[in-house]
Amino acid sequence: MAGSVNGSRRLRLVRRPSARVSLAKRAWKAQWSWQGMLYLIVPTIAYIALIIVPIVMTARLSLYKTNGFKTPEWVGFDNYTRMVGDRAFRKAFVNTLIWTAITMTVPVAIGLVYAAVLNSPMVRGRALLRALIFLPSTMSLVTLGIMFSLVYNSSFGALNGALNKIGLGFLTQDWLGDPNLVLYSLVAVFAWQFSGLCMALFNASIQQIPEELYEAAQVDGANGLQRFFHITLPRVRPAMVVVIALTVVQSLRSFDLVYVMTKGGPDNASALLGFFMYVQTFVNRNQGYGAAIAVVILLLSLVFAIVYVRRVATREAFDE
Amino acid sequence: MTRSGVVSEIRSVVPETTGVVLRGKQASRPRARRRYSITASVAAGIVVLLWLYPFWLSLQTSFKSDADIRESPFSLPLPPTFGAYVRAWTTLDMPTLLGNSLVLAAGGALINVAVTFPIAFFIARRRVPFADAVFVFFLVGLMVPQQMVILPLYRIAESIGLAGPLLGLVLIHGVYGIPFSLLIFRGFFAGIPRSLDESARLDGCSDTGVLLRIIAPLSGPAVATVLVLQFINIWNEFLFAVVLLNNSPNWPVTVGVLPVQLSQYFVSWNLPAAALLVAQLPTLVLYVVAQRWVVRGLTAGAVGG
Repeated sequence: MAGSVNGSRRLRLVRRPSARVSLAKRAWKAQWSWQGMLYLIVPTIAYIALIIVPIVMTARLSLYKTNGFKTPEWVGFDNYTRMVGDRAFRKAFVNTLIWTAITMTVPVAIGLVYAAVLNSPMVRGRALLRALIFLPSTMSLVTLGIMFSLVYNSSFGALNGALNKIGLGFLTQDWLGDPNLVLYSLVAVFAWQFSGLCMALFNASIQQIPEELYEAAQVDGANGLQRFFHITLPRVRPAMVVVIALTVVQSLRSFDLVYVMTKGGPDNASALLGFFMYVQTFVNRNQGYGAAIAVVILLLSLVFAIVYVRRVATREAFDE
Repeated sequence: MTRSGVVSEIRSVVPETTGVVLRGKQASRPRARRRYSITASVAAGIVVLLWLYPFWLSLQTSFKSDADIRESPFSLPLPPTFGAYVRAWTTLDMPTLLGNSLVLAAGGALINVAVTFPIAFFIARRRVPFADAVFVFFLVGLMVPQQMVILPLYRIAESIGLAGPLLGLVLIHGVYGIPFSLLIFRGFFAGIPRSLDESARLDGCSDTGVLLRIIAPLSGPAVATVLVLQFINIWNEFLFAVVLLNNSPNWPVTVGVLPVQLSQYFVSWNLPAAALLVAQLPTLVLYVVAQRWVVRGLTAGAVGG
């Protein structure tokens, strides 16, 4: 704490007319810090060695056929053309698109509704309720997978048990065994978890909205829904772009849930690209093909990643 | 200006996203008090409790015996039994699994903060060449799927005979977390008045001195936020762990807990519930203790401070 006392004294000393500050600022700008550059060396090398180089290596490997033991054999774009004829790949690809379409809408919408409701002054204990909704976001998809296996189990699972209990027994399903259903059972878990993060992000955005806007609208006779659609929704639009980009990028790489809950089954019905890549690379040891699938995942997420990075990187340019 | 003046100034520049403080200010308005609606509050509370039902279900299942669960799956665990926890603890070798996770998460988080804290400062102050380009260069790592880097990392691990793989994964986690931490730290530093460190430099303080004596004492909340978030992220990570650690004495708890899952051959209900709660307990406790930092940090990390 002594440090901050010290800091505050300095703060008083340096308060001066803004013109002089900006002059000083301009002078500093040209001065690069040798120590700063030294600090930068180790992280940059580690980052290049452990992230950038592996990306390049994966991209290169995608043009080879290799199982990791024999010398790689150059096959050009064969690994990519092979995808077209690979039924399992097509299934995983379509599943991933469905998965992403759901995750970019459902948790985003749920999170927005939660954020709007749990910011309403009519609700007591908002902070606590928000903290509870956010709780699953701090858990791993592995433990959530185990948790939802208890819910989805066809013979003793809680979901079928509850349906039977409230007289909706005809709705009971083999949630993880039915090929037409399993993908949606899994994406529900992901959506359940991700709604919390979406809510937190929207919450931050909603709290920037001046209370006066809502009060004025109320005076003018706008009801809750109208206030939501005419004040909240337009104001959270910038946040929504970030949230959707983040959700898409996260869901395109989904792997954990599939691995834990279904291993892609039954009959590839719940395989996603992120999981299919793992199986091809590390189970079947088609490392070149696996690398090509990783490249496809990267390319699919690229547009959203660019949108996201641009938003995040330019955001602060405004502040300064 | 007093010390509390600085604190409040820092507060005002750190994005407050949990709403506790912001709302606290607004609650001083006389009108706010009367607007609570009991119906709305109760309804919201019920919805939230139902939303978290899978969590409560695991909790109550873990305290019941398997016979009780089959008989009445939804009843409360009265009296609670702890057999499942004992079994989870012993059959899974929990001390080793939790210990490995702790090494990974704590080691990775500490390395990450140690390398990211200084560079975030110099990047935020644009004191290194092409600071903005460097920032974006690091930010790219945030968007790269693990699948895109896992295979070369695996080949390297394979070729060096997996010597000290836990240490290797600690380093990988420390580096893989740089983009996210950089985003949070840079946003935080941008909110600290430039004049603070510039005046110290005019007084003859070195750059490292500024960092340690002026910036570090103000950065407690940001450092804590990043440490907690990195800890939780690494604790929950799965793909790297399952691919890169292929001998069981090194497994973290996310990998080691898998055998308890339900299957045709192994049907026990309370064991998986208890095991998953034990596996997640450290981060749950961390979340309860540091809830505001976690939520604020994740928000700041996602939208850039």
